[in-house]
Amino acid sequence: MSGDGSIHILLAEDDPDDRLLTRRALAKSRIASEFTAVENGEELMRYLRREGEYSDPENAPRPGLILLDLNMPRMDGREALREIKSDPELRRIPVVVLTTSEADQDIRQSYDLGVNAFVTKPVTFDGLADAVQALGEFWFDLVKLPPEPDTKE
Amino acid sequence: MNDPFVHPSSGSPTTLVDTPATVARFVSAMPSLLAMLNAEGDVVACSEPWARRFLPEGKDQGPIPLEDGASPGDDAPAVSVSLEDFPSFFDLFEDPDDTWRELLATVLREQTPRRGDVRPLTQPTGTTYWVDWAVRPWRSEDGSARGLLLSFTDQTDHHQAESIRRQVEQRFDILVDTVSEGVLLMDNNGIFRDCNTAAQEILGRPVDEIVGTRFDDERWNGLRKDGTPLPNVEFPFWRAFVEREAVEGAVMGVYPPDAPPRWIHVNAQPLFQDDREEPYAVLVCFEDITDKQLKEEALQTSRDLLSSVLSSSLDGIIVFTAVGDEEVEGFECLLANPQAEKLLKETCDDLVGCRLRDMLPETEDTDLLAACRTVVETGEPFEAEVRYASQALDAWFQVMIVSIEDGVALTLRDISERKEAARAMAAANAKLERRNRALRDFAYIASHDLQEPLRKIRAFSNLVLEDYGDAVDDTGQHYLERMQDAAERMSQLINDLLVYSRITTRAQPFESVDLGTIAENVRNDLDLRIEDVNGTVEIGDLPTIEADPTQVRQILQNLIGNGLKFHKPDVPPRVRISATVEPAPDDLKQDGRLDAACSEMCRLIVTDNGIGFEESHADRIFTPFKRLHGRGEYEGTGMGLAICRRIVERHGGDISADSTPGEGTTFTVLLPVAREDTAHDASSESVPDE
Repeated sequence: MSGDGSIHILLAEDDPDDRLLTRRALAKSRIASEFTAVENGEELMRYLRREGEYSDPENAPRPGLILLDLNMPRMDGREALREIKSDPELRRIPVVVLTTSEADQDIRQSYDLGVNAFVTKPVTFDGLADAVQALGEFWFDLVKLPPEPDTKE
Repeated sequence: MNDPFVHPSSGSPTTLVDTPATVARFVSAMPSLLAMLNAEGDVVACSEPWARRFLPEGKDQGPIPLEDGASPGDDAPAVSVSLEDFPSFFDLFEDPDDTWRELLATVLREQTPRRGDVRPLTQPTGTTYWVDWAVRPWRSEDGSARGLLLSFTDQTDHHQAESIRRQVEQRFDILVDTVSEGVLLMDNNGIFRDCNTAAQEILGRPVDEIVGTRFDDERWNGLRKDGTPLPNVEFPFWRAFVEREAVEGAVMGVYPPDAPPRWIHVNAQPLFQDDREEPYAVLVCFEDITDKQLKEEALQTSRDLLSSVLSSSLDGIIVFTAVGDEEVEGFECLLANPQAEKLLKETCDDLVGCRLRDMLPETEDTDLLAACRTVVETGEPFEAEVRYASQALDAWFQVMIVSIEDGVALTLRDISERKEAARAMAAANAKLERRNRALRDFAYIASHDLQEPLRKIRAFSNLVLEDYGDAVDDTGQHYLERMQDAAERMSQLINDLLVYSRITTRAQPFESVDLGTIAENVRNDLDLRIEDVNGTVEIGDLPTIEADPTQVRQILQNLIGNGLKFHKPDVPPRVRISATVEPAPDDLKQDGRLDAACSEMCRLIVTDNGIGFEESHADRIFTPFKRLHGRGEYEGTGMGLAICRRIVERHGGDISADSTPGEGTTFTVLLPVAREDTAHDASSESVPDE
């Protein structure tokens, strides 16, 4: 967690509307947070590995929670999830799939790949806002997470 | 026989009366076998042939000087016979049974001459003569001396010939009776004179019904080979007689009494006596060839059959013989039927003698030569589909090879059309598959991509209301709500369409389903709605059937839901569910309304007391998105009954509705109770989740 007590949420979502809605929902919630959005899996991985435009650690603080859409261009959420969960540096970051899909197969596959939670996007904005609120409370207030590597000392 | 002793002038005709010397002299001079015996049986005189024939060597120059051939004269020493010097007849000849001794004694006693035919005369050396004999007594005038004159005619040669003849005859008789061939002897009048046992057996008649009859007797009823009556002149034995030549290998039929004709193979040999031109008889030998004939006929029949099978077969049939000494080097065509000619576009003459390799060359996939070798080695048949695509031969063949005695029989069937059909079918299937995929893609699109913008519309209109509600007046807010309602309805439509398409793509296997339990669960689920409308749902005894539980639940949910929904404004809805199990009627199966394999069906009836509808709409209501009422009156997307029908069809059943406006509706669902196997659930596809 960042020193100022706020949490950093990283959203990987290709749909600008959804990025907007999610950002809005987060703002509406009472969770003190910073919010960054990336547009696809590749950008997400560059962010997490601090590559390319994210090579400056100042621009790419390590997120406390990743909200991941499954269907994205270039690298989709499934591939990104597989990479995150097989990377020893990244796999402890909680990842929540936030998608419109209700397909059993997507749910099963996501958990197989090591996702921490699978959430189907609520249809209405109020629903979304509630969901984001609940997620934040769950992951940042309730769940005990392993200490971050860079704050170990 | 000449009797030299008859003395016409003599007083007694039987006894020679003379002086012994005179008699002796007379005897000695005789050219025939003549001997003079005294009463004791000693030979006192004999003729030269007699001496030569019967006297031992040592006595040659005995009392009778015959060697010089001189006629015994008056002074001949022969006369001075000393009886003691003469050999006894019984020393000269064996007489184990005393036959001669008794004979001689009898004649001597009775003084009556006797004669007889062939009788053995055996010397001590073992030599036996067969003689005709005559014994005549003699006595001297004074009666002081008595004896016998013995005259022999040598019949030894004749006797031997006779006995050989008899042996031959006997052998012949045995032979004739032993052979399995029938033997008949026909005389020159055409009358059968003799027959052997085999002849009686073959002709099926005892000897007295054969011997004595003429060849043209009605009873024989001769038949030609072709079964027509055999004219007399064609009888082989008669021909042999008339033509005076042996007839060989004639085949004719004869009728044994009360039995089918027997076929005989006849050799007839005319027999000639001395130099006469006309045969005195015909010897007929015949063999029963009925069985052979029948076998041959059967063989011929099967040959004819085989031949007609070969020539009428729609398959090309080629017989190959293996060529090669130790190892099979190749196969050479022995025979090809007309269809093979047609398929290979070669004449039979061109094919016969041709090598397999040249006729049906190795293709990319199949080496028929190697296959034939394996068939010959293992005896296991071989089957393959072979494509020939040369200029001479462009076809698909189904080839079958079986091992036969010293080669293989190869069957060719032109399956080009079938292959073409299969190819077309595969193409059609691929096309269908593409379409199905497109359909599944559509389902995916429906579930995600179409839902996305709707979700946005709802979310943003929500945001507007929330963040800018103050800036919009009541009318604006109302519009936004209408917009949200529309978006929600569209979302529902899309969802229902998705459910409809998933009936086959998300089908679950059939399993045992208790309809009662499911109906109960549905009623519980609908509890709130039932309460809202103050309705009742009555569930009767429902059976257990084999079905997809999720889908059966969907049916019940939709039908019960329908009954609750379309109730008359002032009457609380009452829905009744009942079911019976009954034999599946054939007419329903023939109409395709019920699965053909179904033997028992469940008739599920859902009745309501609702608004009902015109009978003319009874079929329309099962069509997707067809609604009978405006949305203002009754909610719904118009998919519920379409979904029901699709599910029922997948189960191999039928759904129908009977209704009277204002009185209520009865839905009848027919479902097979059990399934032979789940495999005929053809409409279900295994598809990954959308």
